[in-house]
Amino acid sequence: MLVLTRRKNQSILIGDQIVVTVLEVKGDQIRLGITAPRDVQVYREELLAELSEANRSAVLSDQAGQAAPPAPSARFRLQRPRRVA
Amino acid sequence: MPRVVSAFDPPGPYSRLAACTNFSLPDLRRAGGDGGSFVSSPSQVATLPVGAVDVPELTFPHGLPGFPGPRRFALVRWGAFEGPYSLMVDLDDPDVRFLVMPPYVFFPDYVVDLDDATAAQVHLERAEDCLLLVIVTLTGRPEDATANLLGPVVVNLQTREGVQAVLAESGYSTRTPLAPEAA
Repeated sequence: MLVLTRRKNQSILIGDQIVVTVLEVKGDQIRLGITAPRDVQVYREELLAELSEANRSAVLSDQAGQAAPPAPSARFRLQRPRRVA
Repeated sequence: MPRVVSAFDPPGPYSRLAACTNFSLPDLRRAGGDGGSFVSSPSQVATLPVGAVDVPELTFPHGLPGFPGPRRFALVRWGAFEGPYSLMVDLDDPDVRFLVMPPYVFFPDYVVDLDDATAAQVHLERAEDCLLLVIVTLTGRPEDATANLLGPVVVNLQTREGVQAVLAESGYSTRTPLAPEAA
């Protein structure tokens, strides 16, 4: 792992299109500004870890222990999509 | 033009695809050309002769979190014909099966502001080409079933490419109870 020391308002460049800037240091919290192309997705790591875990636990199992899902209420109409402007 | 994202600031709504709200589940099965591939239980899906049945196939170029891609899924209705549930079955690993549904069934106010990067992954340019599904997690009791509203599945109906969006800063949960009538 590359380790760099940066101060407030200093940046690092990742490739030629991604810039990470230290905006604020307060206690053990650091605010970062990230400039990246639109096709680069930037997420907190724990968010993706949470989704990974959620997906793994959502996989259907043949074993007992997963009850059938609830039936929707009578309000539900499959063929009538809601469109919100 | 680069977009500025502060990791600690909400990214806010995006331009072209704000409010991806096409919740209808089109009959992809019919479009796939096969009329007899209905399945009614998870165990039946496991026995589908993969590759032999012409079911609508979704491609997830980047897989899903926890299930790195590329992956191909069959989308098949699950349960009663008019029911909201479908299965996404991994065509290369049939043990990987997800129960999905259009979110409006239980979450009529749920709206997704899709970011451009996610939309670009499935070449989605028009909101009306977007099919939105959420993954349902089953537990021991029907009333304990939850839906992953944080990571909805976004499908481009034109290209049949799919991606699991990550609605960072949305406040949505991966385990939102369906709680049909309790709320």
